[in-house]
Amino acid sequence: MVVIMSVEESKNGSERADGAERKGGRSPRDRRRATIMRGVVTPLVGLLAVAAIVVGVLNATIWQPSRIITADAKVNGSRYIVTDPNVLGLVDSVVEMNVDAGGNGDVCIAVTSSKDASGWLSGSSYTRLTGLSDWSTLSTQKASGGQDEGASGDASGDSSDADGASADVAFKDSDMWRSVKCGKGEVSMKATQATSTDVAIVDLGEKSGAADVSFTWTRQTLPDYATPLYFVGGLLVVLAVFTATVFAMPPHKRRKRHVESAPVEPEEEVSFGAAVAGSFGISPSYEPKTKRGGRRRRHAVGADTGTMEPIKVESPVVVDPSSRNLVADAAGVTGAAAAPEPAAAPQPSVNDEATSVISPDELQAYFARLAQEVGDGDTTSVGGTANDTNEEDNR
Amino acid sequence: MTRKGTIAAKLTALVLSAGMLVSLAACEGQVPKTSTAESADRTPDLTVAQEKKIRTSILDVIDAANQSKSTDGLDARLTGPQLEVRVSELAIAQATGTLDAKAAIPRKITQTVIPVDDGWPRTVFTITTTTEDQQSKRLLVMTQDSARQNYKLWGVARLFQGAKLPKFEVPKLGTEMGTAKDAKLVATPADAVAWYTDLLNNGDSSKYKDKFADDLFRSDLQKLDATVQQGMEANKGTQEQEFTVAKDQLKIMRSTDGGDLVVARIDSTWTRQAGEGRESLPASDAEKALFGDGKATSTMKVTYVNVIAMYIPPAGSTGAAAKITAVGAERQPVKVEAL
Repeated sequence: MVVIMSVEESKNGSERADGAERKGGRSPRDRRRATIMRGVVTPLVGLLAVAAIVVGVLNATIWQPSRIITADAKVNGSRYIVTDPNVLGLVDSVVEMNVDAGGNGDVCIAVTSSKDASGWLSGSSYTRLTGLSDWSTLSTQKASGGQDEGASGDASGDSSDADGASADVAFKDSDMWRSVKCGKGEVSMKATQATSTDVAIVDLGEKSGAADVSFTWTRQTLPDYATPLYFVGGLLVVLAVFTATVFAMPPHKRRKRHVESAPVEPEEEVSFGAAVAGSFGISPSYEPKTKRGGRRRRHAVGADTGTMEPIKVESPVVVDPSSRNLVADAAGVTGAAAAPEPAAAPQPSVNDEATSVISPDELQAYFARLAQEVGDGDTTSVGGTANDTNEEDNR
Repeated sequence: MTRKGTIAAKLTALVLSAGMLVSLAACEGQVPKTSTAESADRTPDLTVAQEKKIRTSILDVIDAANQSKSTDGLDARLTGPQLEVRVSELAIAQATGTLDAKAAIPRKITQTVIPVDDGWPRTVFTITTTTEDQQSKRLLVMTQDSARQNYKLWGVARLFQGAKLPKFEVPKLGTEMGTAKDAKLVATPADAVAWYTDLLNNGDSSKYKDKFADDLFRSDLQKLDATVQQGMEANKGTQEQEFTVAKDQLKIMRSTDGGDLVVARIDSTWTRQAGEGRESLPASDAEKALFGDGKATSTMKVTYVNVIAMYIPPAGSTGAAAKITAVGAERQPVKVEAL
C-alpha cells in the first residue's frame, strides 16, 4: 500500500509540474480544481481501490470463510429432540450430528420423514431444533406433541391384536427410521438430507434430560467475497484514472470537442440530394453493382449512395429539394394514382443498353416518380425497384 | 494546502479501508434460514429399501418360527388373520412334522405398493414372485397400527393363477390407501365384502351373484361342499358352512385406474353333524392335526379364517369389467372342536 501511495505522490508531483508549465492559460479556479482532483480525490479513490483488491485477495486466501461450520445447542428437559424440516441440509447436504447426553443410557439418532417423526412424538414433549441463530448456535424451541395422529392407530386398530402384541417398540427398533444409530451416552451420525422433509430425531432415553447437540457441516461451496471485491477495486481504479485526467480538466475544455464535432448533421440532407443526382447520373455504373449480387432492398439503395459521393463533388449543381418538390407535385397530379405502375413500366427501358440517351421527358417522369416514392415513403417504391433489379438478375 | 489535503485524504482512506477490512474479515456469509414453505406434495411413507428391510424382518421371524415349529415371538411381526393362520399352520406342522407347502412365502417380490397417507394405521401391499415349487404369487399385507409400533404381516393371500391385478403407482410416488366407505366404485369395499360373504353363504341363489366374476375360491369351495354333502347325505348327516364378515378387517389400496384392491378377512365355521349315531371326524389332514386326539362326537365344528383379496372396479365400468373379482385367497382351519 505504501508503495502505491508513493506512486500516487509522484504522480501528483508530476501533475503539479505539469500544471506549472501551463499556468499561463489557466484560471486559479481551474488550477484548484485540478489540484483537488489529483491531490485529494485520486489518492482517496486509489487507496480505496487498493484496499478493495487487498481485502479481496485476503478473503480468497487467509480470511476465507471457514469451510467447517459447527453449531451446537444445549437441550434439557425433554426426552426427544427433533430438527425442523430443512435444518439437516441448512449449510450443506451432508451433516454430522453429535449428541452427548452424558451418563450411560442409550442415546439414539434417527433420520426419518417429518410426518413419521411427528407421529412418533405425538403425545410427548420434545425440543425442536429450528435452525441456526448464528453460525455457531442452533436455535431451539420447546414443543409438546398433541394427540393428533399416531394415537388414532390404537383407537381404530385391530381388535384381534390387542392381546399384548400392541406394545410399543423401542425407539431404535422402529421401522420408520431411514437410518438409526445408538450409543451409550453419546452418539454421532452422518446424515444426508435426501428430501426437504427429512428430519433427525434424537431419543435421549427415559432418564436423561440434558444433552449437548452439535451439528457439523463441511461446506462444499464457500461464499465468494473476493470476486465482488476485485470488481469494486477495478471500478475504483478506473475512477481514479478518470479523476486524475478527465475530471481534473476544466469543464469548458472538455466541452470544446463536442462543439467541434457538432455540425455533422447537415451532411444527411446533402446525401439525400446526392441520392437524386446519383441515381440520375450513374445509371451505367448501376448495372455491375446489382450483378454483384445484392438482392436485398437495402443493398439496392446502398449501391446508389455508394456511387453518389464522387458525383456530389463533381456537380455541385444539386437540384434544390424545394424546387424538385414543386416539379414532383406538378407531375404527381397526373401520375399519382398510377405511380407504382409507371415505376414498373419505364424501368426496362432505363436498364436497356440504349438508355445512355435519356430524353428530358423521361427524366421528368423519372423525377416525378422519385418524388412520389420519397413522398409515399420508401417501402412500396423502393420495393418495386428492388423487384425490378431482381428480375434483372434473373435474366 | 495541497499537502494538507493529501494528508487528510490519506487519513480518510486509511480509516475507510480499515473499516472495510474489519467488517469483511469477520464475515462467514449470511446465516442460512430454513425455508418454512413446506412442500405440499405427499411423500411415500416408506422407501423401497425400508419396505425390504421390514419384509425381511417379518420373514426372518416366520422362518425362525418355522424352524423351531414354535409360535413364540411370532406376534412381534404378525398380526390379524395371518397370525392365526400361521399359528394354525405351525400347530399342524408340529403334529404332522412338515409345514404345509402353501405356507411358503418367497423373499423376492414383483411389486410393492407403498402408502402416502400421513396417519395411522398404514398398509403396505407387496406381491411376491412365485414360490420355488411354482406355487402362485403371494399378496402380502403389512400394517402399522400406530407410529410407535412396527409393521406386521396382517394377511397373505395366494393369488389365483392368471388373476389380473390392477396397476398401482410406483413406490417412489406412493399410493393412497382406500377406506371401507370409498365411493366412486361399483360397490364400497365394505359392501363388496358383505356381498361376497352373502355369495359364499347362499351360493348361486345369492342376489349379488351378478356383481361378482367367477373365481377359483368359490368354485373350489362349492366342489368341496358338494363332495361333503354327498357323503353326509349317505349317512343322513347334515353340514353347514357359515361365513361372517369380520368387523373392520379389511385393508384397501387405491389403484391408478380408480378401482380399489381390497383384502378382507372373512370368518367361517363349518359344522358337520353325522347322522345315525356316528361320530363326525375331521375332514382333512389339517383338521385332523388340529383336532389332535380329542374325543370325537356326532358334531364337529371347524373354524376357518379366510382372507380374500378382491378388486373393485371404478364406478361407470361396464360389462365384465364392472364385476368385482376375487384375485386371491387364503383359507385355513384354526380350530377344530367336537360339540
